[in-house]
Amino acid sequence: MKRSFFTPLMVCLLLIGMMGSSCEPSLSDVDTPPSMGQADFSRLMMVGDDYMAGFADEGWSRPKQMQSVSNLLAGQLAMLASDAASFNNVALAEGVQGSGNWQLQGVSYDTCGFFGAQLQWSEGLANWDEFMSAEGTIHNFSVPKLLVDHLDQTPAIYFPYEGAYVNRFLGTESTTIMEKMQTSVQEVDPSFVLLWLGMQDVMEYCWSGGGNLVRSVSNETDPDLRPIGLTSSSDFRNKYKALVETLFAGETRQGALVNVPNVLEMPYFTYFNNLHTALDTAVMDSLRFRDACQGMHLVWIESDSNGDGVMDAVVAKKGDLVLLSAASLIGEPNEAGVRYGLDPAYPLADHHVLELKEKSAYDKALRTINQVISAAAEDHNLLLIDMHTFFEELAGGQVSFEGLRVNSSYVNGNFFGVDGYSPTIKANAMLSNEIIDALNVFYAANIPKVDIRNYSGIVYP
Amino acid sequence: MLRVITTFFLVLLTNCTLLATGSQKNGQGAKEMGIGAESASSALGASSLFYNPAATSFLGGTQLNLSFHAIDQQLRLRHRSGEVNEVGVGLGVAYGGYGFMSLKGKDGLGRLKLGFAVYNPHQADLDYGDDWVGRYLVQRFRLWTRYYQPTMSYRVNERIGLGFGLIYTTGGVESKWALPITTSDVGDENYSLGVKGNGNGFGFNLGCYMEPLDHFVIGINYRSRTRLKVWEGDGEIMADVPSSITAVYDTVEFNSLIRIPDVINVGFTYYFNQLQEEIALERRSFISFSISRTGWEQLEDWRFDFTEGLPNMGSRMEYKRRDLVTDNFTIGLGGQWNAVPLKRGWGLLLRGGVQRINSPAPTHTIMLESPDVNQTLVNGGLSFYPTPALSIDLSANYAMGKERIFDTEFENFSGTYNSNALTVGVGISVKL
Repeated sequence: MKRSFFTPLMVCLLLIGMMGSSCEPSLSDVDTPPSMGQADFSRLMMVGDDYMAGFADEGWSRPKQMQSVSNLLAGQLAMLASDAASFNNVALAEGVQGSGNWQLQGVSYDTCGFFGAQLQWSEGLANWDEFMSAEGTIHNFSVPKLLVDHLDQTPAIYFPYEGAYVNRFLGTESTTIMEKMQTSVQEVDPSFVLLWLGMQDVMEYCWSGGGNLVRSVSNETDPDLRPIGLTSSSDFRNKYKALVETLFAGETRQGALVNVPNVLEMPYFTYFNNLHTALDTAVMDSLRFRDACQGMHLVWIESDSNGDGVMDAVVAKKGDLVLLSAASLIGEPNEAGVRYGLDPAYPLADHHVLELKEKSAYDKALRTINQVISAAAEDHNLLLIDMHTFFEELAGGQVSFEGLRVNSSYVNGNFFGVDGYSPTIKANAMLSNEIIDALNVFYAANIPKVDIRNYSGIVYP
Repeated sequence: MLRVITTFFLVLLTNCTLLATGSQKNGQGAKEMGIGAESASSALGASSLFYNPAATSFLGGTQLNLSFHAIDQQLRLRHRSGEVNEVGVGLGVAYGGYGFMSLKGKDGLGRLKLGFAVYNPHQADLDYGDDWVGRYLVQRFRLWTRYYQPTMSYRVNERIGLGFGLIYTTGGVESKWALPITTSDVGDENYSLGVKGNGNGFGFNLGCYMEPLDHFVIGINYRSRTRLKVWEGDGEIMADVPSSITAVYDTVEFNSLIRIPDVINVGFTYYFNQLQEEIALERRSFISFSISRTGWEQLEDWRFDFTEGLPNMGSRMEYKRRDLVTDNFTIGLGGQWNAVPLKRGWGLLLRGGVQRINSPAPTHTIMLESPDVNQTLVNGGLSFYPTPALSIDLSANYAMGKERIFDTEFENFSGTYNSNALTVGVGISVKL
């Protein structure tokens, strides 16, 4: 009798076992092969400033240049169009030390829980620009600190990094970058152009606290320092229009224009106010400094409050931004024992604060710049990549790449470098992917994305 | 008999996987697993303390049950880049020990049964690897629970029984994420942040067992949600970071509420034999249909709160923004056939069933800590009675997953995944 159920039982269980041994879950083969879609990336040209050039943490090095937004993007496009691999940069020679840059020495929380980052300037080569190679046809016209306002100027007017860089590929001091670009466009005849310029036309003004001496942060006594204002609306409109017409001459050339983010949402401008200040509405919305565990103090700043050109010491108000460059200095006593920024006798220098009235001028300039870029994209039937919105989402903590959440927090936000303005290399990869997303949609393409795992974020000691 | 058991374990040792719905591993009672579990209307023995404590009020004598289930889930995930990750899923073991006794006495006391159950209905053990593309979302996740359930059931009249169990739960969680930290200009260097902690909490298991018509039983069971509180000092933070920032992590602690979902089940069973016949209820032939809802939605609020903001992590690791989870439904159809009645000196019950489990992850989302696909399950089992007081219970369940596409917009993370599972179980039941 037992035989009557043993045999079917064993067969049943063995069948279950066979199911088990073949239970690897299947995944359908639905991969869409990489493709350019309706775009032609065979001959590339890119024009930009710091982000596209790989200028980061106020310094310049070959690794950062070769992992800039433009080069990462070109690398991905080269997977689709082999000709795109010949993307020639004005590059530092391999193995040559760069210009020096800020490096992170450590992070800490004080006893009141305030986050702080300790930085150190790493010296580079004084004559780094002599090792820049500008041979062959140039495809990457991305120049550190490049303003649209400078495109038709000779290098003499340029800023230190900008001028040193441009000198290498202009070859002559009487040539403008616009003229050089016209030549290169004729040589390359690019099938696709990516243009991301305009940020520096507002950035340098804000960075210097509203048109003060432009600082080379590693040396505040640099003799090349000079005041800078915002690029005027008419100058930006005329020069950007001329640039677009130069790059997109003819009707068949494809391309994308990238607009300008609100730079004041970057940690260089937000870190100090978000962390160390509070409003005192009882004293006319005055800004108060949280003095690590030692109470609150009014913040005193230099300001031409009467508009007569005379600098007075006034209390910082709501909307005034204390810049990152002042973070390690505020509260430090001078020889008389007066603490910096906390006493009318020793107010924060004008270049350490972006005042509300200066912000208003910036806001107006930024609006104009993005209107000009948007109109140019429409006029030339080009893709407009909306980095302004992307950076807004970044500031709001709504951005993630492969699950890595990024935001505009200083150092801990996983996006901006220690200068509080330039992206880390990993963030360059993220920006490249953001551009790729836009290209994929606009051109019905399938450009592979950059693997962000392979690129460094903030570098810790 | 030896040949049966030997064959069973040979099957177990082959490459097999087990029934898994989220972190809920239905491995409670080899008898119930034979028909597809969730049998609030099927009184199959002491393991009814889990599925519907009220059902024990209709069962006779003192009964004990021990059961063990091996759960082998296979999970494959393909990122949009084409990278395929064969996720390491630990071989899970679900166990349960159940017992109840009938009180002696007339009137009310004789209708009362007291029971006690220990089981582990929720567990997860996932290892995605340190370098996989979703490393910032999760690298490793473990969850373990143990429920202690003293129970009482009362047969109100010939057609209605009620049951209530108070649940004390212990458990813990371990999770690990990659940190985007480097010490050089190369890519990530496998620095990570992990948390591990234990907690405890209370819940309850409530049931009603009704026979509104002869042959026809309706069972309703509700197992409440449980929250295990892991508070400052209960857990540890494991930071694998460069020495230059280790100090930042030294003083940080975390809080978390481990959220175990609630389950409500309604079952309908038709018995082919009269309940009043001398065949014990647990051995009668029946067909049963059940539907259940599991409250996964509360997992959306599961998070780890750090007492200070951590470098590159922030002050919170939460699942809400990507794991948009909904409550899910399971329907099942199963039955039992009294193939060899005990009057022959030994007995044999055969069981089978099918189930359909809908994923709690809505379209385009994924719960990486508990990845689920829509599943169709085939269940089978038997109980062999060498004597009327003893049965050896065997079960097997095969869950076939349907591939899902995920595209979590916020996390900017997309791909496809699929999962299969095989569960095999063995139990022993004693009736005194």
